[in-house]
Amino acid sequence: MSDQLVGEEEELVRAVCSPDGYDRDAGRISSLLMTGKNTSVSRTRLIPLQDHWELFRRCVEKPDVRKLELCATITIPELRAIAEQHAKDYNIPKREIKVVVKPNSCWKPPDGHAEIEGRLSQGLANTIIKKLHYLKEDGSLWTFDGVRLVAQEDAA
Amino acid sequence: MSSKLPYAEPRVYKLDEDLLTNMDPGMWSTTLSADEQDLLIRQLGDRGWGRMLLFTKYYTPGWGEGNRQISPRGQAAMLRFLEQVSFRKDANPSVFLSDDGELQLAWNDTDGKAVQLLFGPNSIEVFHEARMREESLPLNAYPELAAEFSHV
Repeated sequence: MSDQLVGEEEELVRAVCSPDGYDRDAGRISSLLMTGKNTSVSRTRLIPLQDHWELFRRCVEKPDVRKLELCATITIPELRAIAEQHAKDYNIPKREIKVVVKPNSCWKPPDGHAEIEGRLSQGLANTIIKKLHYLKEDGSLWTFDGVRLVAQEDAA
Repeated sequence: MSSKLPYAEPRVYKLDEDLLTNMDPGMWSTTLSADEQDLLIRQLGDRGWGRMLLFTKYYTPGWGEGNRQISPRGQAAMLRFLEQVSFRKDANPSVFLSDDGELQLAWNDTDGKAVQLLFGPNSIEVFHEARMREESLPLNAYPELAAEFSHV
């Protein structure tokens, strides 16, 4: 049975956790956040963004020293545009972005969980992490400029 | 009942050629020795040393959503790289852990562009943003990489 594809215009959420994916003291986010393989993401179409703090704490904060620091969002059209531009810039074949529903019993509903199929290169992932929209639990919005997290002036 | 003890017959082990030529065969565990911890402190500071201690001690198989613990071969290659590289004074490199147990060293060059080296069980994946370079190299390429990325 083939996997169900996530809707073409959907917004995806990724947990940013320290220490494995985020160096809090340096303010540096790792491209490993998006390299995969089969990068786990959540769907705001089925689960409201504000509910992801509790969900990610329950499902991904393992071991205890692993801490959820930020929620990162991006839409599928944005991902595809980044992949297309990256291929042009590096003169390499375009990486197709395919996001499939992968039911996960920790998610409620389970179909709120999906995966970006396959592995993305460090280079493509490095471009993506600079385009993600980062949100802290206090509602503040952040961007990653490639060196460190920077607060956005027009926070929510 | 058999009088033979389990594994009484000689077993033949064949080490991978890379391991024979480049790695200490005894270094299978990801537990860090005192010398390795000193190396981490020297090259990555207290911050990097502390992060590696967390990865080796607490990130057991299945961490996160069923992820892999540190690859011993990847860790060995990274430590060999750290023995030989001379980081730029203000490079401030970070160490990260992937879902597949690979270790990534990441910093920014003098132009603020990303330099990332991903040490896995079979290869070192290099990304240097300023040179638009994405390349996968064998694990035994760490000496050349250490020379290339010193003072970058």
